[in-house]
Amino acid sequence: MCRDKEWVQKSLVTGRVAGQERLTGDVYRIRIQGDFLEDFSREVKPGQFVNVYMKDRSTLLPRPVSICRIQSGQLELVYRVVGKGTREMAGYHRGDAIRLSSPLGNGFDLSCCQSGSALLVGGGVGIPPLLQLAGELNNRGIRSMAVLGFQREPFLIQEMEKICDKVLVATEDGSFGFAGNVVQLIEKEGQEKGLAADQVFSCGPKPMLKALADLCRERELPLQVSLEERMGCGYGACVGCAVDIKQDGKIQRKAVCKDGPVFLAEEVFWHAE
Amino acid sequence: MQNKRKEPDLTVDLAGIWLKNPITTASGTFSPRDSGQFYDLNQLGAMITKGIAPEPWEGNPSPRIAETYGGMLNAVGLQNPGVEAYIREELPYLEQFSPPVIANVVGRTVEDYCRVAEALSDTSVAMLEVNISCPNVKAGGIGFGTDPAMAALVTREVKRISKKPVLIKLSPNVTDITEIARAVESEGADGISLINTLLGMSIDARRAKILLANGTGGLSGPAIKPVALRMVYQVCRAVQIPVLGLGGIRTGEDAAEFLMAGASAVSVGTAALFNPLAPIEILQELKEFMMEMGYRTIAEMRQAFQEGQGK
Ligand SMILES: Cc1cc2nc3c(=O)[nH]c(=O)nc-3n(C[C@H](O)[C@H](O)[C@H](O)COP(=O)(O)OP(=O)(O)OC[C@H]3O[C@@H](n4cnc5c(N)ncnc54)[C@H](O)[C@@H]3O)c2cc1C
Ligand SMILES: Cc1cc2nc3c(=O)[nH]c(=O)nc-3n(C[C@H](O)[C@H](O)[C@H](O)COP(=O)(O)O)c2cc1C
Repeated sequence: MCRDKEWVQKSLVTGRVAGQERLTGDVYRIRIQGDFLEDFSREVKPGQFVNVYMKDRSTLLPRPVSICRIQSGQLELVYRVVGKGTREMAGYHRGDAIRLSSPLGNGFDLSCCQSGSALLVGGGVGIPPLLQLAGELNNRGIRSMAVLGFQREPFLIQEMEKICDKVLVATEDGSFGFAGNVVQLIEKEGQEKGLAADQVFSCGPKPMLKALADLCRERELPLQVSLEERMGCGYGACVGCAVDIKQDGKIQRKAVCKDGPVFLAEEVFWHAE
Repeated sequence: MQNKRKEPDLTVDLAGIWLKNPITTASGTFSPRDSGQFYDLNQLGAMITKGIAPEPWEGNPSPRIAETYGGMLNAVGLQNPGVEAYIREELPYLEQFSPPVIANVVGRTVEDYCRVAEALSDTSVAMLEVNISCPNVKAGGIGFGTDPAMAALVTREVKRISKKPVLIKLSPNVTDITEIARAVESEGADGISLINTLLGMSIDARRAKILLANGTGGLSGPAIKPVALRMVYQVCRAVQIPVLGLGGIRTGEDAAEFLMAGASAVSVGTAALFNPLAPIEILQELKEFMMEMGYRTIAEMRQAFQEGQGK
């Protein structure tokens, strides 16, 4: 029979809001403090997420939010207000309690990146986990270029510029940077300057990921994508967040929360939307 | 009372198996390896696994989950690796822990249920919980659990083949739950568990689309507790066999209500999805509730309720 501690390794924690700011439009950055961050920062991998548990008991299910970074003893999450849960979060003030899980899921696989350069492609609120990833790549001496897409006003650009060799920005309406989407921008950049990257990492809306997957397949660039799906538990108990993954010649339903959220793009079965 | 602060005796008997406490994990909301990252599984009364079919089932496409007010809809579609993989990969892991394993069994035909029951007969599984909410593909997809004759048939055939005690898990999507309960009792079920999820649906008004890929889904969570409690109460009075009660249990007092209504034990389902620690927190709260109220045993608590009702 087994003893408790060998197995039990995840927990729920209560943090304190250290501050919150609006980055643009309906996108916010919340900074969270707590003793648990020591453990978090030791274990966390870029691309992991936390479950945020709401106070309003009518919103029962946890909200998964990517870890943007852990810096100066604070956990930062960047999120867009899209519904009840994120609206509640946007109402938190300094000193308020916030209930979270330990970091969940598997992050980006960096074992393939011992040297060379990486291309980071982000769309909207898919950009936050790329900030932590860029930091980690930097620590490992890997050079990175980021291509970031927004509907209109950009955010997290300066933070990315501090770490990455180069940051390119696209907005759908052309109000900032290149007018169009990230895939068009990458194609244009590739034609002009050539595209060289040993590994591509991406997080963003599914149509963007799918278009990027097509591009990377053509160019024979290895791509890892972070996927989103509606979740029940967020920790592997309910298999609510299924995604179709091609492995060993067949399609298998994997859980985004536990088997992902990061998958190899070539293994994802992209359904027509 | 002098021993008011003494720890209560939480042990219960569920259809012949002894549980150190009445808290079990509801099928489909518990994954030993993942739930066990949050708490020590040895604390549970029993571990009820997800539905097991004779072959692997891939389940439904996403989205499979929709949050509702105080609850959720799921259309996971009973994704599972099949009974062989279960015996090979899951059971040896579960055997490391002390609580008995109750295997939830699903099927599309009576033969499906029997194949799983037979395969599990010579394993360490302590008991079967047969989920009869599944559609019967040989009867136009009507749920086994919505027709007394079909429910009775599954019970009879599984009982014939299984060497393990058998709980039949009822669907609440029926007009008279006691009719189904009596039908499975008369065919030799060792116990009944209820309720499974209530059929529902959700529309994403902003996209003008049905939310779940499957169309409909099963409603669970705190929102269904009053319905579940009513059905457990009715069934406990309609049959002699023991009842495992569940549906929306979120706190120790919720568990106490089901035990008072007559359940021998309870399961915690959706609560464990929105709080991974729910089963053990509920166990602790139940213990504290009983201490506060001065109940020394579960039976004594149930007795107090019966006396309170004047019978
Ligand atoms: C692994 C992962 C990481 C994420 N990281 C971020 C991030 O860093 N920043 C950010 O802004 N958003 C992120 N999201 C999306 C975020 O989880 C949703 O925007 C959020 O759950 C919406 O909750 P709500 O109550 O405001 O919306 P509502 O629409 O009211 O939510 C209703 C239900 O649907 C679920 N839901 C709604 N939209 C999504 C979605 N896009 N993905 C998953 N579930 C959804 C909710 O969790 C809830 O259960 C992430 C999603 C996943 C799966
Ligand atoms: C995601 C999910 C998966 C489920 N899978 C099963 C299953 O495989 N077999 C089964 O008998 N019941 C299954 N159920 C039903 C639960 O075991 C339980 O009967 C129901 O959810 C009501 O209890 P609750 O409100 O505590 O969740 C599932 C429920 C959920 C939410």
